[in-house]
Amino acid sequence: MKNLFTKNVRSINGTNFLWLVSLVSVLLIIIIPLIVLFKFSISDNSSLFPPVPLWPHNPDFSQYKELLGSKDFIMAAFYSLEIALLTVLLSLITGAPVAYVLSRLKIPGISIIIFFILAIRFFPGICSVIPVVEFFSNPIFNLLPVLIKVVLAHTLLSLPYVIFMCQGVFDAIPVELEEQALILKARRFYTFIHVVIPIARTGIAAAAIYVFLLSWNEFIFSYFLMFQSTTVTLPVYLFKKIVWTPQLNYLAAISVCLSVPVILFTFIIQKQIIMGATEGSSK
Amino acid sequence: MPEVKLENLVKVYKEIDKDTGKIRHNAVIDNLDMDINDGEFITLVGESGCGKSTVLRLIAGLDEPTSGNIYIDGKLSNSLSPKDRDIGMVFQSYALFPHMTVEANIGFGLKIKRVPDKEKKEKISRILSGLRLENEAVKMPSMISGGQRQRVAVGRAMATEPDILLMDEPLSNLDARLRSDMRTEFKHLHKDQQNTIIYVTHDQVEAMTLGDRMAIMNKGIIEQFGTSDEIYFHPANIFVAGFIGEPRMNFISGEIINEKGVVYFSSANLKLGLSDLPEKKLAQLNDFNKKKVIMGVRPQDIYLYDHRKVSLFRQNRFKMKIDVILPLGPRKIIVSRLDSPDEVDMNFHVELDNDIICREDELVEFGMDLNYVHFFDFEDKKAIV
Repeated sequence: MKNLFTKNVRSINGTNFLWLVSLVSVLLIIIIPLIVLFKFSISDNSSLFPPVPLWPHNPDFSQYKELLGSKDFIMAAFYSLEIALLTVLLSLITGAPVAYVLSRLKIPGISIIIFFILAIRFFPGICSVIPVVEFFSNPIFNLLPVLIKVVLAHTLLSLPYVIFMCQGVFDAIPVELEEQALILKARRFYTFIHVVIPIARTGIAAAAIYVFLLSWNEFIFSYFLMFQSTTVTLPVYLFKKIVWTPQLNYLAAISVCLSVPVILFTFIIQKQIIMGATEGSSK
Repeated sequence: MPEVKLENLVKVYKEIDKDTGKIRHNAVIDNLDMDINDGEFITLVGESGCGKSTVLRLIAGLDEPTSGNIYIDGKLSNSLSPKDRDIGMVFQSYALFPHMTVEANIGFGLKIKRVPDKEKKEKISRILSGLRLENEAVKMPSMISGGQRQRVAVGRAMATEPDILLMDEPLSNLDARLRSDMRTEFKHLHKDQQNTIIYVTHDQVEAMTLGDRMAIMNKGIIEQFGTSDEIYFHPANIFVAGFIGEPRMNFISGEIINEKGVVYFSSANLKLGLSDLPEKKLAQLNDFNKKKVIMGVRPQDIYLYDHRKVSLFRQNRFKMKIDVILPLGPRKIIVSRLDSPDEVDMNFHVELDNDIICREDELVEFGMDLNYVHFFDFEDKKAIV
C-alpha cells in the first residue's frame, strides 16, 4: 500500500527512452487503423478517392445520421446486443459451475476432460459450423427461434473459454474459505453463491468481456443460422451491405458503430475488475 | 464423559510417487488414541508434517479417517459433515471472507443460523468490543492489520458459541510481541467461555503456556500426552525430551557400570557417580549394568561448580572447556564441544545467570543435580523411570 503514495519519479535516460519509443510505436500500431476507420466514416464523398487526403476536405457525420435513422441497422444492433448479453449469461451460468467442479475435484485425468472441453476450438469455425447448422436444422430444433439458436451456438463457442478462465480463477481461491464456511454451517450452494462467486467476480468479469466480444463479433455461425432471417446481427448486417458495394464511408460508419458497444461494455466491466480486490482474506 | 475421543485413528493419503509413478500410501496419522475432556484446553505440538493439522481436520470433519473412530460428545462422528458438528475453527491463514466487512465476517455463522437481527447485532457488537475491534466493524479485512485479522477470525469462530473450538496455528503469522499478548488473551477467553479448545502449534512455548494438557506429536503418533510439567520434568522418551525445552536437552551416550557396588554413568566425556539417586531409580539403572544408555540433562540444570557450594557431591562434577558464550540478557548460554564423535549433538549447552563470570576457552568445572538428570534406554529411546 505504501508504494501507492511514494511515486517513483525518474528522469528519462537512454533505457527509458527506448521503452518509451517501443510503447508509443505499439500504441500507434493499435490506434492508427481505428483513426483511419474513423476518418473514413466522417469523410465526404470527394475525400474517398485518390488522392486521398490526410483529413477529409469537409468532414461531416451524415453517414451516422443515415445509419442511425435506418430501422434495419437499429434492429440489427439491438439484436446483436441481445444475443451477446444472453450468451454471456448462459455461458457463465453453465460454464462457471463446471469450472468450479473441475477446480475442486481432484480426480486423475482431469486434463483429458479439459482437452475435450476445448476440442470444439481445434477446428476452424467454417468446419465446426457444419455440424452445428446440421443439428439445428433437425425437425425438432428447427422450431426454435433463430435468436435462441444463435445464442446456443455462441454459448457453445464461448464455453471452452469460460470454463478455462473460470477454472483458473477458482483455483486461486483458497479452499480454506469454503471449509470455513462449511464449519460455520453454510451449505455448499450457499457458499458457492455467497463466498466463491463474489470473490471470483473479477475473473468472471474478464471471462464475461471475452464472451461478449466473441458473440458480438461472431460472423460465421450467425451468418449460416440467420440465412433466411430478416433480422440479423451487426456483423451479418455489415456483410450484407458489403455485398452491394456501397461507399467506403458508409461501411466505415457501420464498423465504428460495431466497436462502440464493445468499448462501453469493456469499461463497465473493468470497473468491476478494479473493485474486486481479493487481498486480505489471509495474511 | 469425554467431549472428544479419538480411537485407533488412522489417516492414509494416497499420493503418486514422483520417481516410480506408482501410488504410494502415506500414513499421516498412525493409530492414534486421545481422550479430551469437556472444557479442556489441549495443545497439539510437533514439527511440520507430523500430522497435527490432520488431527484437527479429522475432528472438524473436513477429512474422513481411513480407519478408527472419532467420538464427539459420545456420538460416533466419523463421517458427519462439519455442518453437523458443533465446532468452530480458526485457520492458520485466518480464511476471512475478503469481500465482507469485519462485522459481516463475524456475523456469517449467525446469519446461517438465522439468528434474529436484533440478537445478532447485539452479539456482534459484544464480540467486537471484547476483541477491541469496535472501530474496525465496517472495514474490509484487507484494511486491517494482521493481529486484527487474527482476532476477527477468533471472533467469527466464537460467535456461534461452539462447544469445541479448533485452532490451527492461529498465531504463527504474528510478530513475537503480539503473539505473547494473544496467548494471554486466549487463556482469558478459555477461562470465560469454558469451551473445549484444541490448539495446534509448532511453538513449544505456546503449547506449554496455553494447554491444560499438551500432546507431543511425531510422525503421526502421539509421543506423550500430559500436563506441561509432566512433559517437561518427566519426558517419556528422547524425542519428547529433546523437543521440549530451549536450548534443547543435552544428550550424552554412555553406559552404566557397577564398580564395587557403586553405580556410575560412564562416557568418553564424563563419569558420573549415581549413588545419590533415589533407591528405586538406582535399582532400575542397575538393571542396565554394562548396557548402553543415553543421559539427558537440561542446560538449566547444570551449574558452575563454584556457585553451588553446597549439596553437590564430588562425583557429580565434570570439567569442560567453554567454546563460545551466547549472552541472553539476564541469562547466558555456554556452549562446549563434546569430543566423542558418536553423540547426537556435539554441542553441550549450559544456561547460567549472566552475572556468573566465565570466559571463552576457559576450562571450568560444572556440577549437576542428579534429581534432574534423565536416563534413556539406548535401544528403544524410552525413559528409564
